[in-house]
Amino acid sequence: MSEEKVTVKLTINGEERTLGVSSNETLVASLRRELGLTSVRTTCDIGICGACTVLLDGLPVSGCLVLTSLCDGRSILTSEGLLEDGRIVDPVQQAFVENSAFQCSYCISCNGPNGPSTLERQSSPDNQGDSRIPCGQPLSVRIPPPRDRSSPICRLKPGEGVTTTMHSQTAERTEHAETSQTKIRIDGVNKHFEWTSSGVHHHVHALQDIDLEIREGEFLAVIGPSGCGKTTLLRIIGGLETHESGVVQIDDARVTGPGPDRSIVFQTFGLFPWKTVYDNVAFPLKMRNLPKDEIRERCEHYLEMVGLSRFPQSYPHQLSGGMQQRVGLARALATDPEILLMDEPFGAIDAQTRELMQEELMRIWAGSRNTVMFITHDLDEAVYLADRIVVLTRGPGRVRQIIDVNLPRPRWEYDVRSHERFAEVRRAIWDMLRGDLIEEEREAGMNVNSGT
Amino acid sequence: MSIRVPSATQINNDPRLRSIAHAVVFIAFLATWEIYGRLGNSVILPPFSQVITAFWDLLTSGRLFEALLPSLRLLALGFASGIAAAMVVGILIGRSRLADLTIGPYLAALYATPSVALVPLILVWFGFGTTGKVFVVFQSAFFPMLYNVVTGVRATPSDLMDVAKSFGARRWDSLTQVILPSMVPFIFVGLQLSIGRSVVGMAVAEVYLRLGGIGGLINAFGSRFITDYLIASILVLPALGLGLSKFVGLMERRVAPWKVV
Repeated sequence: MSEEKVTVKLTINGEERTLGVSSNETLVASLRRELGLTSVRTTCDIGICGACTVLLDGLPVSGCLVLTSLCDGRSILTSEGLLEDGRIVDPVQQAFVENSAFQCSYCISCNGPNGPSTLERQSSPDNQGDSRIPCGQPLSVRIPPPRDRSSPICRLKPGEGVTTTMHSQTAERTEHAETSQTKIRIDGVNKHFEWTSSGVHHHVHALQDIDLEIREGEFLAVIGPSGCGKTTLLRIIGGLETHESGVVQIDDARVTGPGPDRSIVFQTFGLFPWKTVYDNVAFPLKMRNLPKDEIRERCEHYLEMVGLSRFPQSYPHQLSGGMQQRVGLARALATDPEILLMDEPFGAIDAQTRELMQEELMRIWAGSRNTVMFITHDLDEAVYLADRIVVLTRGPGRVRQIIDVNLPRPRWEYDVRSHERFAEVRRAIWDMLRGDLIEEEREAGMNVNSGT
Repeated sequence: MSIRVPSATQINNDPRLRSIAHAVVFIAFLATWEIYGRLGNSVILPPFSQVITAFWDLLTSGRLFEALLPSLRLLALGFASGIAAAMVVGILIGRSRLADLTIGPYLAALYATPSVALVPLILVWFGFGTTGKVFVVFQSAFFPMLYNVVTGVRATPSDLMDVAKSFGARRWDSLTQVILPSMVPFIFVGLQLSIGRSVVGMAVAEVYLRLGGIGGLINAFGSRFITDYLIASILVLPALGLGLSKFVGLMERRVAPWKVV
């Protein structure tokens, strides 16, 4: 990989300094090398690739680059290793960083729109009274291990990555989203279901002229009243269902069936009850005829990621619903898919566990950044997770509207649920769905009346 | 002093009371048999003790063992071939609507025909040799298994088939990784029913198609009205059926550990 130098302007203790940062090393390493500073720390204010703050000896620095993987608000990199809550948790991570195993990413704008970090918040005239994004409680952190990919997920990009001007989080993210490529293109897709039961012919127009573009690396939620065909849409993309007209393309190639580039997380978990947790996760890898060692490595890795490394030999029925879906998630991730299709994955899980799982999903996704299509009927879930939300109409399913969520990430870090924007988006979606739901209720009532 | 009779619920819930209830009924049954046998004609119904003596004689003289060996061989041949055929045909019918429509009716017709009625035909076709007898056992084992296999194949959860397909499973993978394991409970119900029916088939084959075995023994004692030895030989059949059926049940627990909660 070619080495590129980026110049970063820093303000340290009121003194302006310029620093050349190589794209092949971390900012922290650069700082140490060039400035001879040993006590370099980073902490993240708004989130991954959002606005971060680098602290030098406890003081914020402006104009910075931060490691994506460490932008979690609680982990602090020091010369001694990785600190969490002031305690060294993993000196080995330090070695990782120094070997450039971590990909460096651009994180822009110190003293971001909402001031410096959570941990060492300083009052400045600019952000006083600006409490749009309350700082959440620091949470436990799982650091995604380096991914073995030919193309890095995040690379330091010259010119793009460094700026000393203040950016609004929203503008930045939108800009970022627009430059990214279309991953899945759905053009004029229609789907009908026809069947005959007890002499009565049924006909359902499930999807009508669906046009949708899903961008590379985005988290797209699809929401709509029951029977709007959202699961059908997912199954069509997954290659499990055919469609009559229109085109579904992934990277400009037509979808003709399931493929290794896509993994599905099923609403009913879809675990094989006769296979152990380990064998369930290994299933897609075995289907791909991977070597045994690699299968074992990947299974252990992903079970660890979802926090199930202690239960490889358990059978699904011995696990709780939440744990079962973790297995489902590990299985889907094990193939390292470019696209993750999630069909109401947390719908059958109790509310509290669901919230935990959403948070965990956000963390995992922050490390992998695959393209995600997430079907849900839960408004809060959609707003909490997604970059964009597609609202479908009630049967036949059509795209009613696509909403940009524009909430800061990482979402688990900030109490985005009490954010004004959260309520705004939620209300907008609710207004769209409400009419459909009332109509549905009324029709259900009519069916009951005519039946009696 | 009044005797407190435990209620039905109490008996159901207490394993000790349950085994006592079993023993009481069993002893009463044997006692009735013994008394009735001693009072009446011992050719019509020999007392229980006499049957036991006869059984002991069969056992120690080696005649029972001698008869059991060819019987078990016949049972094993017919059962194994019947099960194997039922698996193949059952999966075919369960998966393919065309196969169900075309060969289903013939199988149903054959199932509805009692094997005893087929005996003369089998005699004409195969004679008194092993083939004919194996065929009778085969037919007895085949059908209970077949219909369980068909039901099992159709009961394969479609969502799990989707899971397999979405992760790149081919037809053969789907069969071995999804359909077969999900069928396991049905397979074992089929095996249990089939093994019982096979013992019946075995007896029918040996009684009507002659030549040795337990059936031959029964036939020999029956035609000479040696009732105590007859009953002793007959009792081997339910013992065999129940024992094998129990064995299959134990196997299921070994084969399907995911069902143990």
